[in-house]
Amino acid sequence: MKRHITRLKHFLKDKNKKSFLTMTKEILALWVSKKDFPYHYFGRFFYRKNAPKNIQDYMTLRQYNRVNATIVYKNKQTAEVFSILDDKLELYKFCKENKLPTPEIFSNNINNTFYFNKGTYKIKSSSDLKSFYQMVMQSKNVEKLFIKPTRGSGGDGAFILTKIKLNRNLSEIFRILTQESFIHQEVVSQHDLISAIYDKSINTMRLETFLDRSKTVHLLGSFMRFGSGNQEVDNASQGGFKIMVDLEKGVLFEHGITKLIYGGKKISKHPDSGIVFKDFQIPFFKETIDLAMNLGKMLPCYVHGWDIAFTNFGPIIIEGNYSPGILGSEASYFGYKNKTVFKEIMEDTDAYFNSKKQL
Amino acid sequence: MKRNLLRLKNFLRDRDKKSFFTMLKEALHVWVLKKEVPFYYFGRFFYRKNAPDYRKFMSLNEFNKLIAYVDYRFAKVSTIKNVLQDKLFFSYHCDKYNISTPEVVSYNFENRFFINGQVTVLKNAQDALDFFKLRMNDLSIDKLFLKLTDNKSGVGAILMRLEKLEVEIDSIWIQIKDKYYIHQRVISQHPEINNIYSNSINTLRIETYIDQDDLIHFLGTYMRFGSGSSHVDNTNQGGFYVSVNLDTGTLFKMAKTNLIFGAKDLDRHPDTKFVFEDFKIPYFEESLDLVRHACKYMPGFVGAWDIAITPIGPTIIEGNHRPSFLTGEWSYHGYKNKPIFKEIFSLVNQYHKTK
Repeated sequence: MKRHITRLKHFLKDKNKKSFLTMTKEILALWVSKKDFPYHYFGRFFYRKNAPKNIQDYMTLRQYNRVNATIVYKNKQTAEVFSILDDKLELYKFCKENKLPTPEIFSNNINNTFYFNKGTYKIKSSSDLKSFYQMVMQSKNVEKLFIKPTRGSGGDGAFILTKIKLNRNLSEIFRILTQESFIHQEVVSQHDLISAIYDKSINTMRLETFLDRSKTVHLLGSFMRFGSGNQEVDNASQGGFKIMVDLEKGVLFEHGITKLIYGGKKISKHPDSGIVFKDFQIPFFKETIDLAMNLGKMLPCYVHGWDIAFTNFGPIIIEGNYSPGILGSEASYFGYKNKTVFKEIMEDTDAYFNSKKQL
Repeated sequence: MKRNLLRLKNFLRDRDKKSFFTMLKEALHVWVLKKEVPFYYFGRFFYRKNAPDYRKFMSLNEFNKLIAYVDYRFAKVSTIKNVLQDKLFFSYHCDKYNISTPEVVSYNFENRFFINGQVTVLKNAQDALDFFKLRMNDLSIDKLFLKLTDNKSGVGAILMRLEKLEVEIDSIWIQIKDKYYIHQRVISQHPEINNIYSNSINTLRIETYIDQDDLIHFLGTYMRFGSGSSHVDNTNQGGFYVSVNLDTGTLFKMAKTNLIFGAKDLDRHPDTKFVFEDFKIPYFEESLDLVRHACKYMPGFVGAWDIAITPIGPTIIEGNHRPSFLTGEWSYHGYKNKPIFKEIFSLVNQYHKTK
């Protein structure tokens, strides 16, 4: 509720709104044509003056919910792939086995059993924990580790553990870690050009792939995410923002946008570094597309969302998502109606909901 | 429903039943003692003349409470469940920590076939024939065991033989092309186990419990055998089990088939007539050591390990995060005879109280 009020507040304060009359006209037109109240008109900033002209070509909230439910349902049919995407340790093992680039997992834990190299360690106190991480960091010659829950996405529960933090009180970290399972990952050294934009988080490119009925992989949309402020993750749900990627040229579009909950700010340059986004050439763009397409081929599943980071040596897989929330990238292809393969996705969605009705 | 009718039919036909009066008395006693309808009295054959003391065994309600607690524990750490349930990742896990398990030489995700990091998209049965022939030739082997990555109870398993491959490839291709299979090296079985039954790998099931001080305890232990021409030993595919004496590493006297297969008591293998009683399981101590080693790297609360015995030692076929408990319970004559269950049930009861 509080979040909805914040969203409403941001909408009301927005100075870039179209006239009241235009908004009313557009909302009514969408309502009639889509047969559903167009909540997305606000959430996706179509009320702004510089919004795309073809707002009828974009998915409504209801269409999106239906498509997303279909994607999750169909992805779950391929349980093996679903399980790999759901578990970062499995994805890592799969990548290593198949020589795909991914950050090293130096150690991991399941409750108080910690794994490092070929040994296990029973961690019973914060001081055990400190000794364990000192050993890992020293042995791997690193200053920090990225700790992430084995399951989950969106950066929830992830944090960076530095050598300096090890000297502080670790009791809370000890409590959190020993309740579940976590991976302790190498902190990727990011490509200089991406770091120049923002260097406190690993800024990833999201690429969505779709496997059609003839088992051919298609690229749907793509965007890049950046952290800001002192944030260590790039997730838009944690205050970061995203910018659509022009898949033809491999460059960023002009504007990034934060979520409505964070003010729906439209930004043309990074708020910290001041670097302008427009036409920023993404390094290793072709290699990144090839990597995502290859993953889509190796892990046959209906729709994937791949998060790929950039090092100075090439792209590197951060995670895969089985519920990629395809609304986020729709603007990169100017609405689903402009992407031919969506015909098949929409047919599948109708078929799925019809079959549910019959049950 | 059909299975329940079959169970009822098998019960009614059973000639080894106690007298009607004794059954009635005992069933009522169970009802009072355990405060539940005594389904387990019939389902676990306590109505038979030679049955052990039913009061010492888990009732259905006790079992359900135990399983609910096991599920609760594993829901919190799904990684263990994921590794144990997925044969491909279990194999990666075992490789990393030097836990003996049959080698996965290739695998397929639908029509994507993987060998050593190379993926090939196969289009038809001919491609599959070429793939498997090449793989077997490269490894100088003449058979492969294909298992679904999330295989349970041997369902969907295929024993692929080079000599029959050309004839069988069409049906194999249809079976695997839309599924996820590991292609595993076929292990050779210890000759003494082969003397009992050689068409399947007959596994030793060892159930474990890791206590709060990280000590490993062995719970139930039994051995499963295939029969007829079955190449799997699973009891729901016609195989049967014999309880194992954990102290001596020998088989007990009688084997049992599932109730669905008539719950027959067998004192010898129906095909080879090999008598079970006192058969000393080869490499039994080594099997226990292997399980201890596996538990060290898989800190689940409970576990169940299926071990095959090869001529050179034991190897783990699979791990399960959820032991069957009930089958294992015969080997220690009821959970009330196993002191560690006091601790387990105190955790179970605590959990159900807080719920």
